[in-house]
Amino acid sequence: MSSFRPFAFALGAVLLLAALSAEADDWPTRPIRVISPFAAGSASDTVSRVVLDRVSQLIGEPMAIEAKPGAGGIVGFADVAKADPDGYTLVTSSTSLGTGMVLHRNLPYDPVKDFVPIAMLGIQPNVLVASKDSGFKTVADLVAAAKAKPGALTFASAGIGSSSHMAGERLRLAANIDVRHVPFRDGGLTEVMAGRIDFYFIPLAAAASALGSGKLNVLAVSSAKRVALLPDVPSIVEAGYPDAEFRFWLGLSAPARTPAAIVNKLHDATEKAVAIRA
Amino acid sequence: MKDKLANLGVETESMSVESFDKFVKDDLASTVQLAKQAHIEPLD
Repeated sequence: MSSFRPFAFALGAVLLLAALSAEADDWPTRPIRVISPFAAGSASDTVSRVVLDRVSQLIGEPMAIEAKPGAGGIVGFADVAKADPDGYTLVTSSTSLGTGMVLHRNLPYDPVKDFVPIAMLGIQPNVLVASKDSGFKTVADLVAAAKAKPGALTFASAGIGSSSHMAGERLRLAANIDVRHVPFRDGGLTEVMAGRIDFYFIPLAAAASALGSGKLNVLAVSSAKRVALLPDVPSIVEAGYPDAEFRFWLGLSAPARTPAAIVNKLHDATEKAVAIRA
Repeated sequence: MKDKLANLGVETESMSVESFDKFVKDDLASTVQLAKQAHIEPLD
């Protein structure tokens, strides 16, 4: 009897693996649910809808994107971490996986062990802007002013752990300057425009309309290279601060133990969708 | 698609599954390191 139990267990495991493998070969046979852990209209939600609409055409099944915001993305990530690893529940992962680790002591999931990364959806740099009144036209101007008056300059953000906050901290450390962080619920752009806050790393997606206001000077983009939307704006690396590089990324992930065959199919379809020019 | 994403301020970058896995792990480690250096404390 005692020698039969390990055998039965091993046989059961083999049969389960075989069933999962067969299911993976046929995948997908029904609609796929994709959790966006941020509000509708956020970068996570918008980019997911644009890319996954094309991915669903390529794989032949609809992908229903469900915005599930809460606690800085934790609610949505937790939901997917405990979902069946069958390829029918996915999540829009992002830089926020890392900030969740930093801002919360007891996450209901492990950002590394509970997810399998599938594909990159895109990267969104931030744009370093300063109030027109500040007179800063380059990163060098800003750094010189900060060094001349330690603790006097302020930078806005959309909250602790937001991309605007993290980008600002990277510059603070890279340039070794003493500047003060001021978080705002709405990002604080109007405060920068009014000259009450000195600078702000605005997400590139939001920059286009803000830059037309005439109330901001654009100093750099936070990526290593220039971006297509702002070809005349230097990168933070060109500005002399390679350690200040910051890129907010968006990707597609699945619960851990999702079969590799499904991960590879999704990866290939996503890469193909993103590469389409039109 | 590339143009549509560019208009949203999103740049695309091709990566294999393995490269993306490494990218994510490196980014998590880098974020934790940044938080330590910048003294960003947990909120709870």
